[in-house]
Amino acid sequence: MKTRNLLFPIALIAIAVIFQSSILIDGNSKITGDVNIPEDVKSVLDNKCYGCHNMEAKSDKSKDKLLLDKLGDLSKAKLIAKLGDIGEVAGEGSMPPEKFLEQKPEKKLTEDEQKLLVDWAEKTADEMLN
Amino acid sequence: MKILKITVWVVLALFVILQFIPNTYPEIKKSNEHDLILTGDVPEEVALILKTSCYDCHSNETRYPWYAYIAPISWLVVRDVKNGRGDLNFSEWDSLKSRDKIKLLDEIAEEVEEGNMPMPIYTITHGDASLDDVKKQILVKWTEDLMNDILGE
Repeated sequence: MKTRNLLFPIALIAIAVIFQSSILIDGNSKITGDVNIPEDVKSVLDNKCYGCHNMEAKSDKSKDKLLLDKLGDLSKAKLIAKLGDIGEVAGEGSMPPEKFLEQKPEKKLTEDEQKLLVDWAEKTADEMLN
Repeated sequence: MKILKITVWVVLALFVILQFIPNTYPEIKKSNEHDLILTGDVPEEVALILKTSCYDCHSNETRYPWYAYIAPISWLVVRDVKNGRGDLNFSEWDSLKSRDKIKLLDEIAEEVEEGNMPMPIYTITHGDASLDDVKKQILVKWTEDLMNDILGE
């Protein structure tokens, strides 16, 4: 009887914790830049790209190619070029790299996510040119 | 001594057989209406560098040297020209979207600055294609100017 009484508050707390942590993840995006990134795109970038493409990441190679937390430092031309790179690797499926996916297969971009990134990158670059 | 003789003959025979393996050369086109240099966005000194150092692989105006027709070198040449045109073909430049032009210009500057292009295997036999610091600077400056042009700045 007693355990049953506890079920409801425990469930409530669990839901609250889950809810809060998901808000926390969304609110914590460190992607910056003078560029319009819709939430769905941001969440893909946060979950599947940011881990290697930020200032604190371990690999110099990935940092050299793209820093999602420093997009704001890029000139307009560089930003358009970076968007082009993002669209290209997302379209080819060459990122995240195969070696990395062997360890973390869940980080692979789904087809929908690939398309989302490609469309966003192309559209955003075009808007910046108009 | 006999073994040496046999080896030489086998190698020679293999070399001859190699010549019969078909190899499709990317086509040479002399007239390209979308060519970069025809757009007028390229100062003469830049055009000269591009023609000398880049156009053999990055345009439809490839000048195949005589050894490009001898296997196995021919396979390398064909592969490099195919890849080169695939990544960037100055003969098709003006048919590109502005966003792709900017992406390529940024890449050109990077490859040139880092000394990745032209490829060492190419400059071995094309000494005049090597880029010294002055030429590198001219190219990089040109990419920046053209990017600003495209951005309307």
